[in-house]
This record gives sequence, structure tokens and C-alpha cells, in this order.
Amino acid sequence: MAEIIEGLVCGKCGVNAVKRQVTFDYMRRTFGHEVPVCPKCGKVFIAKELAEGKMAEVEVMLEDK
Amino acid sequence: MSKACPENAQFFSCPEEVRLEKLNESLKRASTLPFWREKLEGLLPLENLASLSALPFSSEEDIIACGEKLTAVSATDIKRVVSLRTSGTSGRVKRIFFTENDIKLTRIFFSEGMAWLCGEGDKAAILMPGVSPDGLFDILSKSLLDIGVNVLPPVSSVSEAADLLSKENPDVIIGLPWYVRLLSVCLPELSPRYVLLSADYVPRSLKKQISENWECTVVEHYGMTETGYGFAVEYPKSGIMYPRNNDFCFEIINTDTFLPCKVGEEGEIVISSLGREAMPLVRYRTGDLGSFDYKNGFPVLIYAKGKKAFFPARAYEEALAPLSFLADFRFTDEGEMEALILGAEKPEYSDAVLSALSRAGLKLPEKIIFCNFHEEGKLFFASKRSM
Repeated sequence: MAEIIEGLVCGKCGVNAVKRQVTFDYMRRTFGHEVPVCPKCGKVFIAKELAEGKMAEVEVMLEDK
Repeated sequence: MSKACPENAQFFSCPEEVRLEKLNESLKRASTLPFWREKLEGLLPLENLASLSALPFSSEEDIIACGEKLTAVSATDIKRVVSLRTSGTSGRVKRIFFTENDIKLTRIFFSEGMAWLCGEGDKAAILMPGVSPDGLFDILSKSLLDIGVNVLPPVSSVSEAADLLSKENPDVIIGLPWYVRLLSVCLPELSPRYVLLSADYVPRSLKKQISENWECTVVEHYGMTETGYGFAVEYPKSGIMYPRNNDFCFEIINTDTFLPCKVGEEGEIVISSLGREAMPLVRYRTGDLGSFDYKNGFPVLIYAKGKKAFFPARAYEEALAPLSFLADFRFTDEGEMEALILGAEKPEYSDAVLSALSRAGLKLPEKIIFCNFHEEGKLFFASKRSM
């Protein structure tokens, strides 16, 4: 059973987000990370800290010449 | 089919009125960005290309500090980002953004420029990085395929490159100066027609050495990631670099007065983009030195010799490149020279290095440490300096 995240509600469906392993694709590479997802519509929530932290780091690593 | 030459190259022969129109469009696009809004206020549109010199400069520091704030399109229109870690301070990243069209313009330039060297049925080896989508290798190989050239697969080490070249004996070899020089020393039996050197300063002595080792014509390319990898390419045997006049305006400025240099005068290369969508460049100071002239009424680069800060190192490269036992070299902070050599050390090597440096009037190293290239299995590429 996926962990329900209290206080994080999907604006479209009105249900609580759950933690789920999501696959990211960038520059022909794929990697997985657990992020909040709406169990109904599947919309993924990327927190600012993740976008500006780990995700930005990985992007820079992959964006070679 | 028309002959592939500078006069027929779409990237080069672009009339001034067309360039001015494109420049004004590009500046207008840039002026919508907060970074440029105030700086360009009241200065646009330009009446002629010469009035570009009235605009403020931009620099690598601006790109590092502002990053995506210098992009003039929405994030969804960005097709490719290149992130470059700048030397020195750790963690500082320079990110350059491209749209699909920006990449297409580079591809056209590469195709037209490479058509001076090769064509249908020829075989080309690209010994450059960037195999990822829309990376340097990727774009260049697509450009070569566009003109019917067969591209050899990418390699990830010198030994892989040597094996591939021995097996395929390509018509054209594209790579970094010291890397290709080493291969020309180790594999003299190859017979490429042309060698294109790029991404670093090319010592004259090194160019001559490759040309003699393989009895081929060696040409240079000057460019940087900021210009979409490519900017100007030498037409064989002309010694002139033909720039992408269709996509950029370049100026040569005096590094003390910041005023435009005259024909033939050496100064810093400053670039403004014309058709660039993702990240318009406005008077971007490259830090590289060069000079300009005109050919058939269009501006050409006479030479580009890299950043002033690296000039002492350039003199060492120039002096040491002709020593064919030397694979690469670097200096330690203690003033010692580490020399990567091919095969076992011989007593005369030390004297050869010292006399080459003395002849060039250069400071001699405190000590020379010889290391065997085959045992080390790597190159220092001390000579690979940002250009």
C-alpha cells in the first residue's frame, strides 16, 4: 500500500498524493526516484528542493558537450 | 551541383543588409529579457552593423551568474542544454541553451564546411566528445551523413582510436590537436587527405608535423559551445577562417581601449548572434584573441589563438610539438616537467627537450620526469586549455 502524503492534495482530483517510484528520462538516460503522485490522474509533484537540488545536479552531469 | 567553396557557402556569404535585419531581430529578442532591457534601452534598432560597437558587452561571468535567465524562449522550446564546469572555482557551471533551430543552424554550418574536405562515399573519423543526443559528435556526424560521408563509430580512448584508424584508414580525421598529433606519430602508415583540428589552440609546428607525417592538408576550426560548437573553419590551404556570417557578427576589439580594431590588428574576439533563438549572444567577449580581414566583401577571421592567459603555455607547446618521442607534457607547481614518452626513456631525450626550450628562449624546467605513455595509459592533455 503506497504511503499517503497528508496535506498534499491534487488540485484537479481533490485526493491526497501518495509516494510512488517514478521513472525520469533525460538525455536518453533513465533513473527512478520516489516522489508524490496523484493516485487518480497520475500527476507527479516535484518539490522545489528536489528540482533545484538533486535533479539539477543530475541534469548538469548529463549535459555534456 | 555547385562546387563546395566559401563563396557558395550559405553560412559565409550573407549580405550586410540581411545580417543587419537579423541582428536587429536578435537584439529585439534579447531586449525582452530583464538582463538586457535597461542595457539596450534607447539603443535599438541599429542603423548599421558598425553601430553594434555602441552596445554593452556580455561575458562568461554573465552566463554563469544568470544561466537560464538569459534564455529568450520558453523551457519547452529548449532542445538541448550543455553544462560546462568552469576551471578554477568548483561548482561554477556555465549552461548554454539551444532550440532545435539553433542546432539545425550548426548542422548546416558543419555540413557546408565539411563539404570542403570530403563528400559522398568518403570515410570520416570524429575523435571528439559529445556522443549524447545533440552533442558535438552527434551533430557533426549527422552533418557528415547529410553530405553522404560515412562516419566511423565513436571511440573512448587513444588505443581504441588507434585500432579504429588502423582498420579503417579514414579519408578525414577530426580531433584535438595533440591527440591527432600523437596518432600521426604512432600510425604513420595512415593516409588521410585532410585533418581538421578543433577545440584547442593549434601550434604551427604541430600542424606542420601532422601534415608531414601523413602527407595531408591540415585545417583548423574555431568555435565554442556558446556559438553552438562551431564558428569559423579554414578553407584548405588558404590560411583564412571563414566564419558563420549568416548566424553571427564578430568584432575584434582592443583589449585596453575596448574600441574596434582595424583590419589585421590583434584584439579580443567579440561575438553577437543573429539567428540564435534560445540564448541570444550580445557582444559576448570570448576572451580569445584574433584578427580580421575581408574576403569578397565579407568579414573573415585571419586567426584565432586562444586566451591571452595561456600564452606562456602556447610557447611551450610550439617548441615541444616537433619532438616525436613526446606524447604529452605538463608542468607541476614545483616547476618540474612531466613528459609522457612513447617507448623506453633514452638518454638523449632530456637534452632534446632542453635544447628545444632553449632555442625558443623559454625558461627551463627544474627537473624532467619521464613517464611511459603506454604504462600510464592516458594523456595529460596539459595542452588542452579552454579556447
